[in-house]
Amino acid sequence: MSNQSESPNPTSSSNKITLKTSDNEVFEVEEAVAMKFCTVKQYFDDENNNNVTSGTSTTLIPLPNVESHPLAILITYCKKHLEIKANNADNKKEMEIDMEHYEREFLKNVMPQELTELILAANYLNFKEALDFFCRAVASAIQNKSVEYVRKFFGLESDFKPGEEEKLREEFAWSFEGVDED
Amino acid sequence: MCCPRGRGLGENEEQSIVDLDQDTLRNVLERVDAVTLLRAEGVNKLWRKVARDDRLWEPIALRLWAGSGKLECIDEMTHYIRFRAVGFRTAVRHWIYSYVGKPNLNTPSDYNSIPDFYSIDPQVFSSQIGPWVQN
Repeated sequence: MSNQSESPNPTSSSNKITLKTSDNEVFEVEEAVAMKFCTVKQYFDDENNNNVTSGTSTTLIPLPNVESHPLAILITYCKKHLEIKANNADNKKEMEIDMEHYEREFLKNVMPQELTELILAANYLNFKEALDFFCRAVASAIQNKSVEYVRKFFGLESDFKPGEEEKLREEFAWSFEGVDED
Repeated sequence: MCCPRGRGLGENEEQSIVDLDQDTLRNVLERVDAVTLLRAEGVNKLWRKVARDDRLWEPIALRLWAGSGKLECIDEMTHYIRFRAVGFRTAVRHWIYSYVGKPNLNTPSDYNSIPDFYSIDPQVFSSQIGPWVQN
């Protein structure tokens, strides 16, 4: 019922902010989106404080620790997040339902490796809602799974010294029973 | 402080793989249950280090403690201080072993330092963090 098709962006008339990733891609985003990235917001605020002539059009913000691939996904996620929030400004319950629905769909199109990248990018950008969401997603993916599954999920290999892993397995043998099928 | 680069998941082999650092890994492991957290120690050294962080075990231990009904005679702060002294992870492991049975190996000395009043009714335990344990 709350699916209006016009742009719900609360600051649609506002400035664009330009973000430049480590692989030299440039993203132009609405200020409202960029301000969800606390790292960007901090940079932006500092710039504004130091620069009286700002407030005009565009600002370029370099993101040396973020690649374009995760950033593009985070921007999409952020836009949708703001949209859902704006559509349900007066109904928190409704907002949570919409958000949950979106997040479930979202995860269908994300590979495990991407989740790791997304967590690191969200962490660097200090985008709290996204970080929370991706961490929850990974946690539920490895919940009650075998060690082998977790390694495969993250592309990790054991780096234990000979004997160390056996010792752990011996102590936690009971915990290896009853894990979910991969 | 990085972990070894590994293989991908089949079809995506050519994609570069980045690893979570300690902080982000802790952020993930905050959200799994006690047994998944114990098992996480077996993944690699970094995971073992993070999964043994007592900050992750504190909420789990406190949840157990709250459900244990053993609070009558001791005030909360005293209890909490003793808990901390033993270590939250150690206390939870102790509980788990009292439930599933101690593993058959050289008993680490830290088990003995846990006072009796931390023992917990298996019934309560199973309702707290027991659902994953096969009966």
